[in-house]
Amino acid sequence: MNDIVIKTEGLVKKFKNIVALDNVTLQIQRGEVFGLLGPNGAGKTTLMRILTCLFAPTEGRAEVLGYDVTEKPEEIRRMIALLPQEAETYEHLTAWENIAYYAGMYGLDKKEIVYRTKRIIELIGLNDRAGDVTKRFSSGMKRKVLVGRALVLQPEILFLDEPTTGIDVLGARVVRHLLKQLSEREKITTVLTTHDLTEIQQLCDRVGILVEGKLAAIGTPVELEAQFKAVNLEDVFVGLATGERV
Amino acid sequence: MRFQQIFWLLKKELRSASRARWLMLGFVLGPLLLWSFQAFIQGFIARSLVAGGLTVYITNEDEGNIGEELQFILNHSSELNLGAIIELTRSQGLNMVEKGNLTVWLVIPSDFTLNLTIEKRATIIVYVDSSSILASSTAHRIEMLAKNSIDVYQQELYIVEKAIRAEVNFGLTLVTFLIPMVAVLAPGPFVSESFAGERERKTLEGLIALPMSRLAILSGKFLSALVLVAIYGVSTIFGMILYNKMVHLLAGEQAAIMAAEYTINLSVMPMIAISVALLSLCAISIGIVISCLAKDQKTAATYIQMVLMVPTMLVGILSFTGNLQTLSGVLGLIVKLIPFSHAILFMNGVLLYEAPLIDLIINIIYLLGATLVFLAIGAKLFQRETLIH
Repeated sequence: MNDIVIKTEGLVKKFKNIVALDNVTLQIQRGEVFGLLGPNGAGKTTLMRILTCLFAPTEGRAEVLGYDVTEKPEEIRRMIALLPQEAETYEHLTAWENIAYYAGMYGLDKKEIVYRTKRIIELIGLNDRAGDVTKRFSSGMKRKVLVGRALVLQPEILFLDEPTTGIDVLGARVVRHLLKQLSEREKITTVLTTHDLTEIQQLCDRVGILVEGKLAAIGTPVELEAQFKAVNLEDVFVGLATGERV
Repeated sequence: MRFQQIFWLLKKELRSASRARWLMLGFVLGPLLLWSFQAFIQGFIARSLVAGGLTVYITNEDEGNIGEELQFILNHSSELNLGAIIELTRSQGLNMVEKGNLTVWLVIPSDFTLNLTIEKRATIIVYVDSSSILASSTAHRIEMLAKNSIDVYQQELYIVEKAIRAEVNFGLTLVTFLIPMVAVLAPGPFVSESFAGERERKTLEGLIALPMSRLAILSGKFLSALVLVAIYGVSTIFGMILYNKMVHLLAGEQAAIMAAEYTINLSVMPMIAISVALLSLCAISIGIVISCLAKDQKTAATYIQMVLMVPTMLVGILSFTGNLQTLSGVLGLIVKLIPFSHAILFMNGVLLYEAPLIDLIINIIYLLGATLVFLAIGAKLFQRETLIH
């Protein structure tokens, strides 16, 4: 089956004289969990922002679910959800309100909002804390709410920008466990940026490694290890990021 | 769907604001506290105006007898309730004026009786320290008594009042200084929290990734600010009612007539509330522009306070000293370009003197125009990629 949901061709993004993305071409299939790996400043967030229609590409083109990102941004946004890097919940709102708010913003009717919010609260395991303002939540719990908020939209593609950055080890583990469950149960196409190799190995079907704005390698972890004759993915990543031979 | 989205955004903003206790306290209690504070001042002023016991100085150079009769009346008047009347020479008086040691000084010139007899009119000079409320009110009562006494002779008395210190207007001019200041600064925390704060917490990125135009997001946020401003406007009306009650209570029975002069006419209250609301809206639109440019919430809050407070203080002080209406030239033009000056001019026009309706309308139009211009700039800035970059 060749069901491509994300397609970029020669994608370039420049900020004044800085080239953040340089000729990136890739394809992501439906149901795939795709990891974007790279050091800080490699262009992961920029690529994600182009795919979520927040930035316009300087050159090249990007299609999401068959729509061009510059031509039909609202159509794309109706079918995707984004969890930005280091995002916070609305701390004066309860977990329930945080999730229901996003559902409301999608124009769902009240009954549907209640149904979906209830389901998501159960899914993220926050039944007993649903009525508490998120100000009092731990970082892991807040991240669960944020993932839930993205999921309530029942998106066709879920974009997660470093979902475990800035939270403690336990919180990160909880979020990873939740994402694993989701990918297995819900089969949502997920694009995930991270510099955490454990996350990639636990969650991703395929990986794209970005270095200085260029897509240096793409494939499954096993394919990449074989291609670069490396013992593990970490060696592949270090080799590409530093330019040293693996 | 768009309206539904704006509704949800509005609901979220108001719910968040209602749970931020200090923010809500500022909006609800701010006007009440401000008007109560103002009532204390006005009540004090009203009470002071009927208080007696002031030492008054007099120089009687009149070569006839009417000046002496006038001095006798002043000396024995129970209405005036003066502490003492001290006689001094003109040179002594001028010396004391120079040192600023006088509060009220009456000078009856040498040709006083002669002028009254032949010309049927004469002039006395009253030096007043207008920075003292008691001195101003005592001088006013002396002038009234003197005029009434001279009327007996079917003659006319002119009084030239000279200020010992620079003129200082109290009373309602203080209202037109303090009210705009608070109206301008009150929405600042909400705006910086709603725009720059959302950006700082990265919740804005998730929000603008929703299937909703940025203009709709901006509209939703502006609407919620509008609701808060309406709360502020209603609270201002309650504050004014409270103010009226407190002025009467604090001034007491004796100063009831004076207190009545300071109370705000019920019919102008809505106009004041509207001008306060418009002022807040203009401040919000400027706040949006600043929030879109500032890198974080703290910077936005600081710049909002600075950008709004400095010009408001400037026009407020000019209004307080009575120079706002008369200021001309380049400085006058600059001051009139500041939107807040039009809110203060509007309030002056409503509260202090009966300004022509067309002047009031011009002030309102200018304020609304400035709000729309800043909103358009804010909308433009809100569209930029760098908003989240």
